[in-house]
Amino acid sequence: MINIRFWVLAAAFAVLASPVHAAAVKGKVAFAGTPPVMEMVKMDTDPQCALIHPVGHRSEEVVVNADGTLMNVFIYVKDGLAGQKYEAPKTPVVFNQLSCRFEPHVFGIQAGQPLQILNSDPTLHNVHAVASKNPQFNLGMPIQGMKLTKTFMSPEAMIKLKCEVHPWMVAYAGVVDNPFFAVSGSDGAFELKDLPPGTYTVEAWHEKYGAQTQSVTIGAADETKEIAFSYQG
Amino acid sequence: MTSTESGLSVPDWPLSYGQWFPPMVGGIRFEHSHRMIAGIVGLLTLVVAVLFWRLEERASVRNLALAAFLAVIVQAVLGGITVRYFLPKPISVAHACLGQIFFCMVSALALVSSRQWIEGAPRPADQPGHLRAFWSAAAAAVFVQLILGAWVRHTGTGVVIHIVWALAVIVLGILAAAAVEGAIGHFRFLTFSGRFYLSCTVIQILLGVGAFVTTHDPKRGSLPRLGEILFTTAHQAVGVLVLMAAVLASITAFARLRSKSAG
Repeated sequence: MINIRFWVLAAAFAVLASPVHAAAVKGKVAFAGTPPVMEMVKMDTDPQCALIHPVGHRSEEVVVNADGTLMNVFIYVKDGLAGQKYEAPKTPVVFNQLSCRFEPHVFGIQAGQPLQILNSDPTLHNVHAVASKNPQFNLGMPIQGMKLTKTFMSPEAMIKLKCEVHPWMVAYAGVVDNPFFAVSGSDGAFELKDLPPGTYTVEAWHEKYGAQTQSVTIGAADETKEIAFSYQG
Repeated sequence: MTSTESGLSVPDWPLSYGQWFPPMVGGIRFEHSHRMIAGIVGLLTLVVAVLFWRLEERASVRNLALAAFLAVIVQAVLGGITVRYFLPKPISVAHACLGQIFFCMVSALALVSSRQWIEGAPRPADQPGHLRAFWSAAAAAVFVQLILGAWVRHTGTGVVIHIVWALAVIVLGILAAAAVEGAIGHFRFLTFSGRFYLSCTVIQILLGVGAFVTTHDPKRGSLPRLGEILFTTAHQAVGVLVLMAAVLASITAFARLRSKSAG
């Protein structure tokens, strides 16, 4: 009797714990052509930054991985989720000013999700969100350890974030109204998980090379589709 | 400050990061220095306005001094608006142009309070009337050119019309300077104004070419280089000298010359 109850409960738990949709779109972003040599940005205008980077720091505008893939490409479901509502997570996305750079350089966040902005540097920074569909802000963060929280309420791809004190510090935020987004990493890979069946427009965006779209159809709840983007240098 | 993209490096106004004197790093060096110099200019203009109001007999000159002080107040407010509202383009352009107008107002005050002006007298009525027309047209053309230049600087658009309008500035300047050389060789200030205007215009063209080349360099990185900063800043500075020459020559032509019909 006890054994039967155990297995019934285990089976019920297994069903309830499984995601309703387990479909995914995954792939890689390739780079074709000769990778450009990024400028070495001098940080002499701030002694603290110069201490951290005495010879400067390579611009992150184009980062081609060793395997010929492209990093920092924002991929998201642009279309196909009409009528679906996704509650924004309460967990904030952390955006840090560290070693006179923004980390991460490109990130995604859901509309309504908090953005926690940190200054981890022993110098002052400010964060200017050059938004058009959301209110702009330009926040001074003069103290190390300072934290501020802002929220973008409207989807907007992409919002440029700048430090107006240190003009080399630039980042980009993709604000979307769904949780299906990713940023290509050091292997150029991305994965959009837990998509429901449907036909979607998936967009890839790069700060220098622009945007590309592809149409993807997910037929079954546990299907995985592979797509690839490629940018020409 | 615009050339180094430092306009928003201090996000608050009138204080800077809540202080009167913030750490002078990065773009703050330019933005806060700009504010400090503006404050000094404002105080000096207040002193000048008070002195003129108390000591100057000519009502027009007293009013000009007062207008200069009001202009610097408006300029400060425009500056605050550009910071608080993230550099709205029309306000940024207005801020740029009012600064140049203020410079001409102060230059005019210096001219009309100079000993040469006060002790001088209107010239005999043998001066051609078109002199006033040429100089006032040149001043207007230069001011339009400065508005167009400010628009290019703050929006990145309109460079073609700015280049084309430069022709108007050059042609009117040549006409005005030639009229002065030919007709009033002995009235030194106007002759000097004409030569100064043309000299600055030539320099301005060269600086404009430099500014255009450096801002459109395909190898330009994400940050402006020193050459671009120097060319664009110098181009703006010399532009106001051209305007000043035309404005002061216009004032002189209207106030110091009588037309043939008045003779």
